[in-house]
Amino acid sequence: MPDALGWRKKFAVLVPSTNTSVQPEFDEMRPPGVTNHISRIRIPNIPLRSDEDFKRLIELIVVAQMEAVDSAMSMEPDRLVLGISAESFWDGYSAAKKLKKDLEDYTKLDVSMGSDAAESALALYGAKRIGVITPYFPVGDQNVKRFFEEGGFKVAKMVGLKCESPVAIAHVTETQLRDAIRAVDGPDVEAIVQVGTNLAMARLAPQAEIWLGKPVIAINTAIYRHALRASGISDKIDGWGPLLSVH
Amino acid sequence: MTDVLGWRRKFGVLGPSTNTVVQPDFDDMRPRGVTNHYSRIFTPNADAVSNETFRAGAEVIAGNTLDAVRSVMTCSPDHLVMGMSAVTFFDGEKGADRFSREVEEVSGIKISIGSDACTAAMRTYGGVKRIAVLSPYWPSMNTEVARYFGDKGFTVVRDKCLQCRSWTQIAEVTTETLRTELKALDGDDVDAIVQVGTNLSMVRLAAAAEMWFGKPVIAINTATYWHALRTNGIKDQVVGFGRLMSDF
Repeated sequence: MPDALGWRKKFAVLVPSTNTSVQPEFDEMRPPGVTNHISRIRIPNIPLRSDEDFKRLIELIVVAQMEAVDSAMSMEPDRLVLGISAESFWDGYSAAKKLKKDLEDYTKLDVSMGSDAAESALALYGAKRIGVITPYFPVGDQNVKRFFEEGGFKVAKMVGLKCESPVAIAHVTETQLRDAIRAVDGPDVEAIVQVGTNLAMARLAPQAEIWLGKPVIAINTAIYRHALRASGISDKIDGWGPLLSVH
Repeated sequence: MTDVLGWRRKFGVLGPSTNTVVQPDFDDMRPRGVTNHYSRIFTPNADAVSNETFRAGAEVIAGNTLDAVRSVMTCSPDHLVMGMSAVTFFDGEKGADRFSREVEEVSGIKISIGSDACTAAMRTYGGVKRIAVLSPYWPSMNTEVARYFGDKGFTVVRDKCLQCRSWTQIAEVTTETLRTELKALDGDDVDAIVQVGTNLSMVRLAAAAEMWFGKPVIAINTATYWHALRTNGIKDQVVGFGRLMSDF
């Protein structure tokens, strides 16, 4: 018998335990018959003041990740969705692909994750020169830049918001995000990409897109779109921009 | 600074790792500015549920609850919501109080639990004394549920347990089955029907049943989420989930 609510697909969604944006955003996007099931990667809400602190945060996530995978597997999901993006960009393009393959081998499920999903979204538009917004410290920004440039993109402009803790990422306002979007825009920028899944930008991105007349990709929308479309769910959903309403 | 999505309240929601109904149910009910943050209570041996093993299995879940509490506390929630109901019925009223106290001591914040939320819901409707209970459990667990409600001054006139053989199977029970069971449970001798077991998908059916029977039909997920909202001063009324959410 199928699951009464998730009769089309059940997605296991991994998030850092500090994350408060992925669940509300993904759950607002879900079509009928698809359900999301959050599994928290337990990390402390450490203060972030430097690149060293940020690297430590990534290490904490890597260490705690498999426990959250095992926990989510007990509800028999159809797909694994990473609601954490920094790790998916770490150490460049081939490391990102390896992370995906390792998780797929371990769970025997297909995986959707931020780096891959952003790449797929950009491919829909054929955009190559991009502006990037992150909540990270410079070491995180460098890893994101490396992934995109090894993947054949050119990062023309970048803003890292240097949020002071994982929880504080969710406190960044739409006004601050609007200013960041303006800062990474320019005549030579073909598309804007926001990474960092705890930055709540899914509602703002389609507004920015209309205003600027170019693709503005919020990472959560890109990840959720990837999970749906790769699962054969082609429902078009309004309110989140063309990524979900057209593509 | 406040959370931009959960600017009124952030709820930490605890549920078994095998549960696939609480998250979609709660997220469908959340008012603007309130966000839910699910934390999975690791639940092994999902396929070996029986009358003899039910309590032991549920005790394992209870034992892993504090780990899930500690995990969700890292996102700084304002309130906890228990998305697993069996453990909140163990050992009657005293057991329910003990469970809440333990979680509240570890977390430093308040928790809404299913058993007490059903009690609060019935008292809010008013005029409820004699009830019927529907569960996905086994008879040994229904006895615990009846004991708890007895402690609270209610009489369980009839009960039905669906005897689901695994934790995940609970989410596979269909609306048709539940409708048939509700009809069998109803009668002139009951003032209200209560459904327990949070992985049973019944929030919309309960609203329909309530309309048709003309008496309260309480789905535990609705009662628990309603309790969390109202004890936090969130009075927004939500339609589509019965009178509890739309009228009280």
